[in-house]
Amino acid sequence: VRVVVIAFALGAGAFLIAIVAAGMAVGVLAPSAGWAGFRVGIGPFTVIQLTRDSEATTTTFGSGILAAASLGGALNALAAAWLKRRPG
Amino acid sequence: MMESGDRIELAPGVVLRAGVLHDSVRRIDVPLNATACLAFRSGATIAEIAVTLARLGARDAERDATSLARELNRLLLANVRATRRDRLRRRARALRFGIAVQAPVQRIAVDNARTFVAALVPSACAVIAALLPLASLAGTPGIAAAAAAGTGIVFHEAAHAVALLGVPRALVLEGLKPSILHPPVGASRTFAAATAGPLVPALLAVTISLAWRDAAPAVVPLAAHAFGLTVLAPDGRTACGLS
Repeated sequence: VRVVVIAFALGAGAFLIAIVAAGMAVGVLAPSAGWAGFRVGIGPFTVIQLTRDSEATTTTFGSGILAAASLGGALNALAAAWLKRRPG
Repeated sequence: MMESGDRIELAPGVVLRAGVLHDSVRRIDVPLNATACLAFRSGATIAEIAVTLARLGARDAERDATSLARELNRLLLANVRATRRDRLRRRARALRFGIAVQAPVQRIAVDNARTFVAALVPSACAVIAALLPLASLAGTPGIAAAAAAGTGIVFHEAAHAVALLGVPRALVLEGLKPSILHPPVGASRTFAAATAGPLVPALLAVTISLAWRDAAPAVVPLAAHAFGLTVLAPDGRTACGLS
């Protein structure tokens, strides 16, 4: 259980960092690419939303970022459990 | 690939005492057999060791000397020194037959920050050089991202080394792939050392992005080190206790 819990925490942390860094990079690159704006998420869960108006570009991270990080953590925990059970 | 003119030196932290190689970094003793004891001398070339082995009655002294050098290098107990010119010549010769030659493993003492960074510069430069043709198409942010990818290696290994402060450690270069050699440590120290490497460059990337937003695209390669925390990477598997 300890291995799976550690793997979940590390996986979630890794995905959280990656999403934040990638989101901020996209937020900087979007205006030069001419993107009007976009939203990544499912239903009420927004991972990242980019809005542009005449004055500024705004990058917003929503509650979906925690769900995405948890999903990443769960995948890592599953992989860890599989590696632990694998013979040899 | 090793040749007769290559010089075999005991790796930093390894001493030969009474027929036993004592590795002060890993805290292990590796006994040499009687013939190897008589023939091996740190700093001697493979050819010189072969001459001694031939005097002791070896049938194929050159092969035995090369085997001894290869085994000591594989066990990270000895470094193999060849001139840069010789190494390039061997690579070029092997490339003609479509073979990529793997350089012998090199173990380097972690004495101070300067020597540590200097040892990692070739790895960092190789990454930058590999990424630069494609990255330069994206202009300045692309070039900055390639530079960040290269320097990320230095931050990654430095974080491992700092997390192991107070523990004997050495830098090992397997080709251009760096790693830190150290004795077994407790579970919490193992976890801290394994996670520090990927975590430091990744958190550095987030900090830079928050402090200087325009730099966010350039530091994405640093943030990608975060995936080293997952079980896809050796650090992540070590942190989880899987290796």
